[in-house]
This record gives sequence, C-alpha cells and structure tokens, in this order.
Amino acid sequence: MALVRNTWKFLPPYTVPIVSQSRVEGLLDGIFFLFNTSSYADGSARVTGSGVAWSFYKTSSVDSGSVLGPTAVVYGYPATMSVISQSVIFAGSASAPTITLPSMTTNASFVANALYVAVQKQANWSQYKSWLSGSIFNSGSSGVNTGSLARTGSGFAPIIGASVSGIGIINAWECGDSVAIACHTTSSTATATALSFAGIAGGFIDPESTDTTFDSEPDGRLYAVATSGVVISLTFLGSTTDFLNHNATAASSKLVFIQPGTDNKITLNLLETRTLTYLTTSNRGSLISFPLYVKDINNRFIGRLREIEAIRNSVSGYVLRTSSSDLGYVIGASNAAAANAVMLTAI
Amino acid sequence: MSLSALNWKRLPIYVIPTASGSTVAGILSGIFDTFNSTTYYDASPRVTGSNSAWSFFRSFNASAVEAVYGYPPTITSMSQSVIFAGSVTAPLILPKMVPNSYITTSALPNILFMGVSTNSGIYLNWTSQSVFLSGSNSAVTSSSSFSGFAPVSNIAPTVTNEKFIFAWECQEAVAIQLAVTTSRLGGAYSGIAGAIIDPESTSLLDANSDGRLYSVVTSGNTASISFLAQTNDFLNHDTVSTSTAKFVYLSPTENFITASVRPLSLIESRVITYQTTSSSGKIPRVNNYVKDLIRPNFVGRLREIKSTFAYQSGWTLRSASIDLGHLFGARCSQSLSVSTSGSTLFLVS
Repeated sequence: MALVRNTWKFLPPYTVPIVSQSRVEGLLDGIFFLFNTSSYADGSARVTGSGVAWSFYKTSSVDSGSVLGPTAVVYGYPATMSVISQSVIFAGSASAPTITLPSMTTNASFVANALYVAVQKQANWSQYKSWLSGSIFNSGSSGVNTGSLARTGSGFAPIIGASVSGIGIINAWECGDSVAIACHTTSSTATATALSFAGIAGGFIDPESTDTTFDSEPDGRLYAVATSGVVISLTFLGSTTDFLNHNATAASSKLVFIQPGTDNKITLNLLETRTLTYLTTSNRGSLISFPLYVKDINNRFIGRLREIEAIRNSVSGYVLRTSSSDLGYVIGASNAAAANAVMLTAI
Repeated sequence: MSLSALNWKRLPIYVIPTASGSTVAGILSGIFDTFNSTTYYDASPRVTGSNSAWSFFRSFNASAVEAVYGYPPTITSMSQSVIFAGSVTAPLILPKMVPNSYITTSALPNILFMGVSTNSGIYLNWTSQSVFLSGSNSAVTSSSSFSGFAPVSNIAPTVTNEKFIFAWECQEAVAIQLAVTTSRLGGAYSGIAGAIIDPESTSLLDANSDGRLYSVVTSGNTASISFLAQTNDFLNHDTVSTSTAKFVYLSPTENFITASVRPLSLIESRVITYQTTSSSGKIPRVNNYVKDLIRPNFVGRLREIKSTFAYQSGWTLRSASIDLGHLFGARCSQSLSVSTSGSTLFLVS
C-alpha cells in the first residue's frame, strides 16, 4: 500500500550574487536563504515548521566565539518528524578539511569547493556535532544512535562533484519528507546544452510494502540521496549512469539509500529507461507522468520515488499549472531548453 | 480517469495432439477448443458469453480450419472482434497485414496470424480487406477498422516443437501463447488482442467513443528471454523484419478521416530478473505504457498487463484461495532455472 502522497512546494528562484557563483560557501548561503524564505514562488505564505516547510540552519567549519567563518554546512529537518528523525545536510568547503574528511557515500570522494548533500536517520537537529563526524548529529527522537546502532547516514553525495563554477540560479523544492535543489549555470546562451546539477534527499522512496522489517523503516519510508555530480544529461532518463542512477565514478551521479534498520548504504538504479521527447504527450496534448521505480545492484525491487515522476521534455524550474492550481514542478537537465525532466507533483 | 479494471482468467492448458500439431489448421482447432472450454484452469465453470468468457467461432476451407474469431461477452459501441487465421497453403489473395509485415502470399503458408477488428458484424472472409461486415456501430465500414494480421508465429508448427497452447481471456481482450519444447529453451510464440490500451483520457482525440483503444501485439519469433529490455521484440513494433514482433493499434477516427493502423512501442525498457522482488520477497507489478512509434506521442497504459519479476509462463499467483494474476512469460520450460526464466507479464485477475 502506498504511503500518503507528498505535496511538493516550489521556493522562489534564488539568483546567486556574482561574487558567490564560483564559491561553495556562496551556494550554501543561497540554499540557507532559500529554505528560510517566508513565501513560496507563487507568493503564498511559508511558515517554517508548519505545512511542509522545513527548518534549516547553517554553520561553518571554524566557529570562533561569535565570529562565524564561511558557511560550510546547511542542515535541516522536516516540519513533521517521524520516528526516524531525519535530517538533510548540505555541505562543502573551499579547501579540504585538514584533520579528517567527511564521510562520503559509496564511490564518492571529497573535492574542495564541491557541493554535497547527505541524509541522516536518528538525527537530533538541536545537537549538531560536525559534518566531519561519522555521525553528524547526536541521537534523535528514538534515542538510538550510539554503539552498534549508530547511524552515520548516507554519506555525502556530490550535487556538484567538481569545484563549483558559474552557478547563476538555484531552485529549491520541499515536501513533507524531502527536499530537492537544482543549480543552473550562467551559460544561458547555450540553449541546447545541459546546464544543470541537482540533488534530492530525504524519505523519498516508497517501498510499496507494509513490511517494516526488510522493506521499509518503521515509518514505512526509505531514506535516500540522489545527486547528479556532473551536469545532467539531456537524455538522462534513457541512461543507466546519469541522474537518478548510481554511477561508480567518484564525481558522477549517486543514488543511495540506507537499508532499513542498519547503517548500510545500498546503491540504486532506476528500474526502467525511457526515451522521452517534447512530444510525449497524449494526442490531445495532455501532460502524462510516469512513476519511477528503483532497484538495487542485484535487481531487487526497492520502491517508487515519491511523487517524483517522469514527464515529457521540459525546462527545469518551470511550474505546471491547471487553472489556478499547481500540478507540479519541473526539475531536469536544463533551465534553458526542453530536455529530459521529472515532475515533483504538487497535488 | 482510468477505465474499469479487467479481470484476466486462465483457460486450461491445451495439449496439441500429435496428429494435428504440424499444421496451422491444427493449431487453430486447438485455439477454438481452448476458447470453448466449459471450465477454467482451476475447474471453475466457464459459461460462454458471461463474465470474461468470449464467444468463439471457426471457419473452414474444405475441411481445414482457416479462421477462429470471437467477440467479448460485453460488446461496446465499438463492436470488436478478435480473429486468428492461417492456411496450410498460400491464400490466393494477400489478407490485410499490419504495417511492416508480409507483402506476398508465398510466405504465408502455415503461419499463425492474429488481428483485431472494430465495427465488426457478420464474418466475411479472413482474406477480405474487411474481415467482417459492419457491426453495432455502422459508421465505419472501410478496411481501416481492421488492424490487419500480425504474425503470432512466423514458421510452420511441427509436432516436435509446439506442444501446448496457453490462453487467457478478460472482459475485453484475449491472449495466447504457443509453448514450444525445451529444445528451444522453452520459448513461446505470443499474441494479445482486444481493447488492451487505456488512453487514460476521455478525449476523442485520445480514445474511441467507448474510451478504449484496440490493439494487437504479437511476437512473430518466440519472444526474447529479455523482451522487456528490448526495443524490437514482443510489445515493441519491429519495422525492419516482416515476420517479427508487431504491435499496432487502431487510432481514434477523430485523428484522421478513418481509423489508422499505427505502430506502437513500450515507453519503458526494463532489465528485470527473477531477483526483482522486494527485500521481503514480495512480487512487484509495474504498469506498462505505450507510445506511437512514429510521432511519438503517449498512447496509453496496457490494461491490467503489468511487468513483474522474471519467471515462467503458465503460472498463477494466488493469495489464499484468490487468484492474484497469471504469468505470461517468455519462457515455459518445465525446469526452472536462471536460464529458463525470462521477461514476464502479469495478467491481473
């Protein structure tokens, strides 16, 4: 039986100041700003901690008294916490930390000035430790995050796997259990070129099963992180190594979930590949969306992406509306041309 | 909004007699007998014309069966019929064929064909461009209300290969397989026809007046062990070879002056193995969507024909005493191993 539907909301597009476009701390500041806005893109009110509005905080690697260094970490938690007590963490630093490197997800490695995201279960948001710690937070609502039951989370996955450069716009979306962001480069004249990076994190996999021993966490969800690493291919839904698929190359796309009841990270791929074009509508022209399912490396069925569905080629950052209601939001390969994309459904 | 769900039922396995197993006439007789069974596989009664039970008839040329045709228990305004046909010798006239299929009669002997017709009334002849006279809706009488014939099997049957007929029916469609022996890895020639596509739309640009789309899909060759991962195998129209997989539908007449026969393919390509279950061992069932191969717009969802884990054909999955669905697979060997399980469809009960 499927979980309750997520309702995605679109935050106002954030224009990255020129001085910050090639600095990861600038992007992290932008992400923090986005997830602390008081309104959504359509002008409706956003009240942190209510509805689907996440609460986000930021900190630096080196805090000295009241002097805050460059932002290195932006972390947050959803408006409604389940027993799993998740947090999502965006991170990155201009240079590699000298004492220890952060825990990376499977096949990923740390690169200075790159942008990462991770998800952690059993995270007490009010007891942030360090993004370089194995467990970024002390234990959360269930109080189980120590010893053999310690949960280190997904590890950091690269939204942008190389030193960031020329990011002009950040889009962000949130729903009850997940957040998503897209970073678009400033190469706006290259209308047929892939231009965007993206990341999704949180409880965005529905195992479509009531089994809470093997198939899902006690709250019925699976916690995961999906990132592009490199610019998303214009035809990523027809690929097995691009966004929404795990790629073993360090800086490339990652899709990892945390095995229920364990600290194991399991890599994932989409169950299907699709050749979609701008013409993939009905004869009448209706928009069609296709559910996305994921499997592990052994072809084991893991679940359905929650209200993240493939659609005709579209432009990332667009809003799809019917009458005065939002149907969903586009996150895809380019914010300048119609290319492969998924819709974050709003209804 | 989706159409009402279909309920697939499984007919008893038909063992092809040695005496008739080497001609298409014998295979057609077997199909006729199968769809006139008085029971289902589980011995529950089957009453022709009620619930999911189609009514099937046959037509002879001399003493040989050349066509087996039928209609569903509930006829919509589109008045559909499904027809199986073939002849031991080459027909004098080339029947209407689906696009990209045979163009000469010399290649036709002993080939088993399948087609779907709308606006179907009285049977004329399988080699007629309009196989049936107009039916309950007499608006369209041209040959364009017939899909044309698609090859279920593209070679003559032999007594050593074709051993069984598997058949399923639901309120608006039928499906069959000719199961061959383990000498061919236990493959199967496959075909499905009827109102198998739900356009998920009531617009007359997307659907016929009854909300459905009518289609025929055949394998030609025995379906590939991984046909769900292919783009030119069963459930995908092959434009290259005249004798291989065909998948077409009758497009709604509002798109053209008369209905047009258009090729289809799956939107998804899936690598699914027998391990594709949930961690707790549950069996997933995922929808199959189709697109027009040429335009290539979205056409619809296969009705209660889903993809599932790789297994074997002819099995029924039950929960307690209730049928969940039936497996329509690429392989039907009597032994079960990695190499004898393949891409499989789940016909939902």
